[in-house]
Amino acid sequence: MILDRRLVVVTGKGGVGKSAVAAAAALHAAKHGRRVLVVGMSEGAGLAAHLRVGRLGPEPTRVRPGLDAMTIDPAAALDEYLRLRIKVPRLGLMTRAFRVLAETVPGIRDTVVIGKVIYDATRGDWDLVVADAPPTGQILSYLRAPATIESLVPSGRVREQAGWMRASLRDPEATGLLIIATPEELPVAETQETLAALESEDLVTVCGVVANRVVPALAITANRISAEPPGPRRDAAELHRDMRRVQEEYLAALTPDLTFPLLFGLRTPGEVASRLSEMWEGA
Amino acid sequence: MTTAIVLVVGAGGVGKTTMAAAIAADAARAGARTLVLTVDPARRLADALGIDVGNHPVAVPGMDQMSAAMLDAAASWEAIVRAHADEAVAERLVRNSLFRAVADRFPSGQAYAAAEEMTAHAESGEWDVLVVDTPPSAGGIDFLASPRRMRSLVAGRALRWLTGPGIPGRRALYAVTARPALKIADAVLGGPLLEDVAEFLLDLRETYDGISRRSKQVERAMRSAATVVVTTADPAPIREAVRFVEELPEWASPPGVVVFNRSLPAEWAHAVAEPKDALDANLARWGLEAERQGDVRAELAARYGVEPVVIPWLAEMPASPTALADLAETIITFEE
Repeated sequence: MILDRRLVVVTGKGGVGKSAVAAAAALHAAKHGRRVLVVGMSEGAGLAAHLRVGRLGPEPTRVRPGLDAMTIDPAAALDEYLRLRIKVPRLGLMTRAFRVLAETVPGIRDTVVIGKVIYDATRGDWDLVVADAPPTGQILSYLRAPATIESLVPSGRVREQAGWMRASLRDPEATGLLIIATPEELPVAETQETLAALESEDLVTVCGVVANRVVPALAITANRISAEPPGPRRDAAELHRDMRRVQEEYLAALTPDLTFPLLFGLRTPGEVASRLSEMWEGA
Repeated sequence: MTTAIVLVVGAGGVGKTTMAAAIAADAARAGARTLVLTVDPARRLADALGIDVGNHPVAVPGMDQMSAAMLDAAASWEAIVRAHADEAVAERLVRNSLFRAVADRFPSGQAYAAAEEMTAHAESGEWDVLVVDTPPSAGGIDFLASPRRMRSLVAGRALRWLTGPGIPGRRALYAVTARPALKIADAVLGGPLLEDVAEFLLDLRETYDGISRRSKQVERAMRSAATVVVTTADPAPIREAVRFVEELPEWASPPGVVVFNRSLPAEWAHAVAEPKDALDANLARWGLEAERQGDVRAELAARYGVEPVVIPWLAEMPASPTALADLAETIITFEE
C-alpha cells in the first residue's frame, strides 16, 4: 500500500497537481485514524490552499482532527539542525559561519530541509509524514544531498547525521517516493527519467506512480459523433475523444498505480483535495 | 535596428514553450528575422518545428526568417566563471570540489547564464525579434531577478563577512579575521569544509567586476523587453500569473498581455439545461469547466486591468510552424 510507511515524499513535474495529491493523501490517512503531518518543503501556498487554511508556518498547526500541517523555513531548520543534531556548543559567531556554509554549499541546505522531514517522521508524534516535495527537476539533488555531504566531510557529527539520513531514505519500510504525473509528454518523460535514475542509484524506494487529471473514456461511439451536426455538442465530444486518445498513449508508458480523473468545474483547491481524498478510498 | 525582445513567463506546465514558439512563428511570418530561445523543448514541439533544437540557432524549415536555439543551463556556470575571471582563477574554481555542487544547485546562476546568452543574441544584430521562453524555476522571476542575485552572490553577505570590503590584500585580512572562527567550526564539522568554502568564495569574488558590469547590461535588455504572461485557468498557474502581474514592473515592462491557454469556448457554459443524451451530458460537464474558466478570466481582468487573450484547448499541439503561427496571431502585433 502506498501510504504504509512513516514518510511519503510526493514529487512530480510542476503543474501536475502535486500539492493537491499530497493534501489528499494526508486527508485520507487522517480520516482513517492515523496521526498525520503534511509538510510543504518549498513554497507552501499551494498546500495551504488545498487544506483550506490561509497560511502555513514553520510550526505544526492542527488543520483537521488528526492532521497537522506546516512549511519548512530553511533558516529555522538550519538553526534546529545545528543545535539539536550537530550540537554546536555556542551559536552566535559559529552560527554565522554555518550560515555562510549553508548559503554557499547547496547540499547543506537541501540536507537540512530533507533532514527536517526525516526527523519529524521519526519523532513518534505522527504515524505518517507526507512531504509536498520540490518538483522532479530538483528532487534528485535533495535525495542525493546527504551522500554529497558525506563525500565532502571526512568525519564527525555532520557526516554521521548525513549517513543516518541516507539510510532512512533508503529504508523501504520507512520512506517512499510518490511520483505524480499528468498523461502528457513532459510530465511522463520526467517521471521516466526520475524512475531510471532511482533504478541505478538506490536513494529511495518508489512507493507509487499517480496519473492525475485523466480524461475518462467517452461512452459515445465514433459513428454517433460523426452523425452529429456541427456545434458545441459535437465539438465537446470531439475534444474529449481526442484528449482521451492522446492520454491513452501516455498512460500506457506511465503504468500508474493510482489514477485520478480530471475534475470538471471544481472551483477551489480545497474542493479538489477533498474530492481526491474521497477517491483514494478504493485505492 | 535594435532587437525587440519578448519574454514569455508563467508557471510550468501551461504551454509556455509552445506559446513562445508560436509567437516567434507569427513574428517570422510577418517578415521579422526571429529567434526563439527555448529552455526544454518537448519532443513534439521539436517535431512541429522540424528540427533538433541545439545550443546554436538552427533555421526552421517551412518558416522563412525563423530560427530556434536552446538556452543551455548545464554548461553555463563554467562559462560565466571563464568569462569573468582570469584563467588561473577560473581553472581553480572549476576544479574546486564545491563548484559542481554550487553550479548544480544555485538556480540563479543557471538563470543568469541564460540571461547573458539572451543578451548576447540581442546584441548580435542578427535578429529583429528575440522570443525568450524563460526557465521554469519560480516561473521566470528567477530569470528576471538573476542579474541582481548573481551580483549579491559574488559580493554578498557571506563574502563581505569573510573578506571585508573589496580592498587589496583581502586574503591577508581574511586570514586574521574570519579564518580562526572557521577553523573552530570545521573542528566541529569534522573536516576543512568551511575553509574550502571561504577559498571558493574568495576566488569567486574575482569575477565580481566582470559580472557586475555585464549583469547591468543584461538588466537593461530585460527592461526593454515586452512581456507576455501565459497561464491556464487552474489555481496554481493563476497564482503565478498574479505574482507576475504584480512583480514584473520591478524587473521588466508590465505585462502587455495575459494569455489564457487551454480555454474552452465561452458558449459551452450553460449550453445544456437538462441533458437529454450522452452528447448533452458530455457537453454539460465541459460546460461547467468553461463557466469556471470564464469567471477566472473575468476576475483577473477586473482586478488587474489586464486584457486576457484566449487560446483554445487543443487535444494535440499544432503540427507545423504555420499552425503555430496561426495559434499566436491574436497574442501580439509586431510593428514593421
